[in-house]
Amino acid sequence: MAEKLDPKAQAKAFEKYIAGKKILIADPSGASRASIANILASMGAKTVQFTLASSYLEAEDAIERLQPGVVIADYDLGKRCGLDLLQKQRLHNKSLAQSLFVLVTGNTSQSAVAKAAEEDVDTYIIKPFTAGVFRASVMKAALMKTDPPEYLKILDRGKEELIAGKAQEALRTFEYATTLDAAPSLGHFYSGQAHNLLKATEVEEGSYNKGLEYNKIHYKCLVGLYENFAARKRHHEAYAVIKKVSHYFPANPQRLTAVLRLAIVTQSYEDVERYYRIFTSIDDRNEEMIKYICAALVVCGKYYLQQNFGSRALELFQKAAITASGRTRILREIITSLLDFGLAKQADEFLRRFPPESQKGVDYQAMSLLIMDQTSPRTLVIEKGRELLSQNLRDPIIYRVLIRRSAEHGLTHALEDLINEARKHFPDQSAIFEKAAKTPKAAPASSSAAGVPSSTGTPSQAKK
Amino acid sequence: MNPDHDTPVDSDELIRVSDFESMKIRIEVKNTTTRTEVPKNAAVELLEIHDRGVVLALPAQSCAHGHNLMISFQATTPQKKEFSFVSTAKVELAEKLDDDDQLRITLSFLQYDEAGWRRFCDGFNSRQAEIEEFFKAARGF
Repeated sequence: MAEKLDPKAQAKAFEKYIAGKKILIADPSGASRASIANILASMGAKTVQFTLASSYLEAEDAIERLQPGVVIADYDLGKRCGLDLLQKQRLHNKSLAQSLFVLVTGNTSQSAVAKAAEEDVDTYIIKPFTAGVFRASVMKAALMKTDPPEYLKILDRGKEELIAGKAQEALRTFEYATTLDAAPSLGHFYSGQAHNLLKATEVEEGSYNKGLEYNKIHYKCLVGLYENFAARKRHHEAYAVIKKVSHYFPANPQRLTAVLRLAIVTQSYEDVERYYRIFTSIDDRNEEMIKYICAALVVCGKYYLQQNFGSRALELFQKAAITASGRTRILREIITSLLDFGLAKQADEFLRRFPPESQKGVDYQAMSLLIMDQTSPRTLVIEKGRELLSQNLRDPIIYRVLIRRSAEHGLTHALEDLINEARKHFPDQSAIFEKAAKTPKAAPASSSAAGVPSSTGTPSQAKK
Repeated sequence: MNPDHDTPVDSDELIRVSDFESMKIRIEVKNTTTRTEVPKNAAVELLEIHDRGVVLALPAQSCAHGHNLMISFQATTPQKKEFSFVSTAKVELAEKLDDDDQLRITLSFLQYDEAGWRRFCDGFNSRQAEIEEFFKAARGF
């Protein structure tokens, strides 16, 4: 095993490993590329082996053309993340088991480090580095590939059995592997995976928990446990685990979305408000994060409307609308929620938040009609609805309102054509259109019941 | 972040702003030989730390082999801990890089506080050690 070799033997083993391998160094800084190349050269690499890339695109191209066995990248490559090159390497490299992916970067943030660990990067070296640290880190990672410990070799065998569908065999292999290491979290994780294949979900849970006894932040065991609870619809337990994962591995926006979703499912609405407060202090927000936080705020707002905490609901809707920055789908959700509770005046205030350039669009026009449906005479609503359809603005809500109002007005002749047209454009909503034609409009929950004062101005604090 | 504490995660702790922040290093370089100063907004990067020196990336024309520099480093962690180091240094090697408007220089310190230098290096060494511990715990090997 590599760890038992003395330093000279390790150096020789590394020279043997690196010999003939193509090495890609991707870093925007030429000086940094030179530093890394110099140290690797001192470890036995030859100049002809190096390809240097100053940008993500250059590096991506080099990976496709050359399939380098060793990639050393900065985490920050202009607007792109060097970590994304790992997927490229995995896609293009035929001898992946022997290849190396190393991040060498000035980005010392925990979010970057955690993301790298999640993706199974071989090692992470921060700048400024000492030559000694660089050598030791890279050598250790490389020697893990050439001469891994028995524990990892057995796990690899088990993984092959798992991939081949031999779950029972794999389980025996993994259970044997766990006797070979002092902290066999990974072995227990793979046992859990084997139990998953065997549909033994409770035993699977036990395997992940066993793994976590050795290592409380073992990423695979945590995610395995979360997925196990989520599949069994044990939402509260899943929520607790996903919160832990996000605590230690903060950067994954998809996980944040899972956290938000579970916060809603487990009715932890106050958590959502706290997440929003934290969210507003993060500089680096992506589209998905924004979308999900807005959606979560809207769901919370709906909940508070149902619970007669109207002022609080409005506050959350305001926050969602501000964060949404003109994203019309969110504004639409807010407006429909308010109208469900007869809050047409408040809904109209949110309608005004649609950006000017979107006001000719179907989302704005549909919401405008929906508000008119609660505030204007029937004939005007019908007239408006027909006008929108004649402009080719088609939306299920427009059809729904028009169908219902036409039915109320006794326009039976036009009704059938309308329903058919609606079904043609939105076939999955046929049942809703049929229902609209038959059901008189239900009175919305009264605004006072929602805890929102009917007068304009600052809503009074709803009693909790 | 201590993974040994198995306390339930509070929502307020769920996302820490500091997790998204990196260590910041402010570097000031004065060329005492030419009596010029590298502009404060110039791209200066601390690449390597040696026992008694450093490797820096500087704008081209900042200095040359044999020049003396006054360098000052101030590092701030996401937790707002600060550590700094000041020294005079000699340019042992200055490499102009072909495709970059950059100079890669190797400096050796002339007059410096050894204990201060060790403390400064520890700021980075300890973060590197934390990362390695985290990797080992997160991956399980």
